[in-house]
Amino acid sequence: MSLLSVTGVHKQYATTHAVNDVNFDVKAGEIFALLGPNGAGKTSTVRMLIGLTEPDRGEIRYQSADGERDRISATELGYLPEERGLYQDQKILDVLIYLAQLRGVRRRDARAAALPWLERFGLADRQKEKVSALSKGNQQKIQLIAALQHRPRIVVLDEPFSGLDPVNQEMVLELLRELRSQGTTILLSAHQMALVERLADRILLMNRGRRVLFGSMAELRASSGLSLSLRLEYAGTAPALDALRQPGVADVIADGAFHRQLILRHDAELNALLRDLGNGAQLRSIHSEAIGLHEIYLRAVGNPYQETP
Amino acid sequence: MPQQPATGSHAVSLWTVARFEFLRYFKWKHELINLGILVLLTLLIQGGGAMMQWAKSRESYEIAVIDARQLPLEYGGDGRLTLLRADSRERDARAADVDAGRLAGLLEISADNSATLLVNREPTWRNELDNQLKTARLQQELTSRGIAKDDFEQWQKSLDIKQEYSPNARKPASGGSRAIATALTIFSLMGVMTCFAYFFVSITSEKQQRVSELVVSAIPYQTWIDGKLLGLTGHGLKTMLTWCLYGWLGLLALARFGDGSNDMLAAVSWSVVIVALLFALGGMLFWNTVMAAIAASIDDPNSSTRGSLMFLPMLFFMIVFPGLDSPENVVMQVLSWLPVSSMAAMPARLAHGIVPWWQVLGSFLILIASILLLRRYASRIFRAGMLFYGKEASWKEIWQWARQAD
Repeated sequence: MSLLSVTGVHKQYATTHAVNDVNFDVKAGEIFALLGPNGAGKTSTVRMLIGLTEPDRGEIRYQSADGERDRISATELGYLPEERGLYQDQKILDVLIYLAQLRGVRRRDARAAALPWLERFGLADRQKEKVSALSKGNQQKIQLIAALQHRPRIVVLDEPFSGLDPVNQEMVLELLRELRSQGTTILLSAHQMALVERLADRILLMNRGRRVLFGSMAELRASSGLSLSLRLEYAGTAPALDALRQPGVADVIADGAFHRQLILRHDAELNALLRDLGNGAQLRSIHSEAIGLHEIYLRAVGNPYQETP
Repeated sequence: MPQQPATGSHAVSLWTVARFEFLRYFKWKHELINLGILVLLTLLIQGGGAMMQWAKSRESYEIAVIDARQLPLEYGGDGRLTLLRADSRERDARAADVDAGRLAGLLEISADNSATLLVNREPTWRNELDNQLKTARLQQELTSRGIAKDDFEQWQKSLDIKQEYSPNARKPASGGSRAIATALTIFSLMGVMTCFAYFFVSITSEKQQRVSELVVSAIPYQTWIDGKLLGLTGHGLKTMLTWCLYGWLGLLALARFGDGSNDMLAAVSWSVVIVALLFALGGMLFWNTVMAAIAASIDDPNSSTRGSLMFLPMLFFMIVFPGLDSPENVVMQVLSWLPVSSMAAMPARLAHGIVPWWQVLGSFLILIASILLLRRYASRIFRAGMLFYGKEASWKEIWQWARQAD
């Protein structure tokens, strides 16, 4: 069941079409990722979803607990904005309590809700310090707590992994999975492809305000027409790129003198291809893996197989 | 399923923002330290003054007087200044005493009403000597004309005029009421300036620290600006009342160290005070609404020239202050109707008790209407300005924001 549906939404700033007739839906309890390069329209879309701006055209429908709305209800929303910010001169716990109160939580309950989160993120003993005393990474954690502490029905996270080290990125990854298992719907935008691929149930890839690809990883692979990535290691100098452009090969990427990467389409004949890979050079190893989000992303942005909404 | 938070009503959100904004800049510890410093300074001033009086009372200066006019001077007194009668034949000896520091001075009064004072350092007692000479000369003249001193003093007194009011007169408020109304006017300016400073810091820091998006995703802009107005106006009110408290404590202290009476407070017309307080509150709300719009349009407070607009309300107070002693002139009458200056001008007029009630009510209604109208435009500017990053909005853009529909 769709918790959120976006139909033909368009947003224009001056002469720029920030969001151009975009359609998608977010199902209850899923992790939904918005992907795209800078200026793709992700943040503009998010801002319309939460009511900071209004679409020029199109329709946003959110199934709130108390009926249908044209934006995500403020009290059901947890939000981590792209433009990060906290009250630097205030105490950490006071800021969390205030932000929870703004979401409709009573002061007493807000305090009780914030403390376990601070404990979980290892910041409980710093609750009375000012926000400005925290490092950038720890401030990011406080922002994340502010988005989650009131147990929202839907969480919108704009770049939740930025500013976090790999250990904390993994911790956040686990946390988001845990929230999903508890029924929370998560909509995130991020640049970390590997993390998104591991996390997201469905992905919307945007470019220049338009929808480029949309669906699960399997559906994205199918839409992209790509199947495998072959990483070839040669004992000597690798063959020229053109020599490896066989039928079924979508792209050949050079990686130094001894390595080549082949991106294969669904119609690639693997047996025939393997026969020609040597091409006079000595192959040392072949590593094969399903095509990743990174390759799909790179080839879709600025590329040929743009999907019509 | 996730737990649903309690739905926050508009009033609850408003109170939450107002409380947060008030407490953001209110620290009990700082207030108590400020009070402590003020009490300490008062004690030091009082103590220093007392010490000075004590030190002066221990000083004594002996002046030798050679008087050719035979003035009725008081010789041999035991005050700070002691006059010693001397003969003209002793002149050189007394002059030597002055030079050696055994005498503070030698005064020679000639028959032609001129005098010479010989000292060996600057005489700090000169005024006291002048007064004694003046009194003695007057006494001599009165005696020579056969006039009693008491009669002379009686003639110098002004007529005892008893002021009465006609049946329909608008009686002025008491001196205490006027003093309190004036104090409220001055302290309300301090309140406005405090509010302005906090509004400026509050809004520009929220923009710089990128908090805006987080807040407006949770509550409507109108609730946010209204909460800020209430919370920070509360701060201005607190500043104003704190200074009133300091003033009252000062009056009590004066009464304690003075004759023990406190007529100024006893004769206060509290209706005047309450109306002055209402105008002060309204004026603060008015100016805070202006400041909210200005601050939201600023991107970087360090480079913006709009910070100088903080002095705008001071300008109107400066225009009003010279009129406080004649509050019925035409300029003061006009200023008491304008919402930019009524908070200062109307209480001043009112304290003189000559303002018809309909003018007070009319001026207050205009002030309230202006606040409501301004709030409408300010919240539009605030709404657009709070998410406007990277450059300072031009006046044209601000005008466009103000005109756009809600």
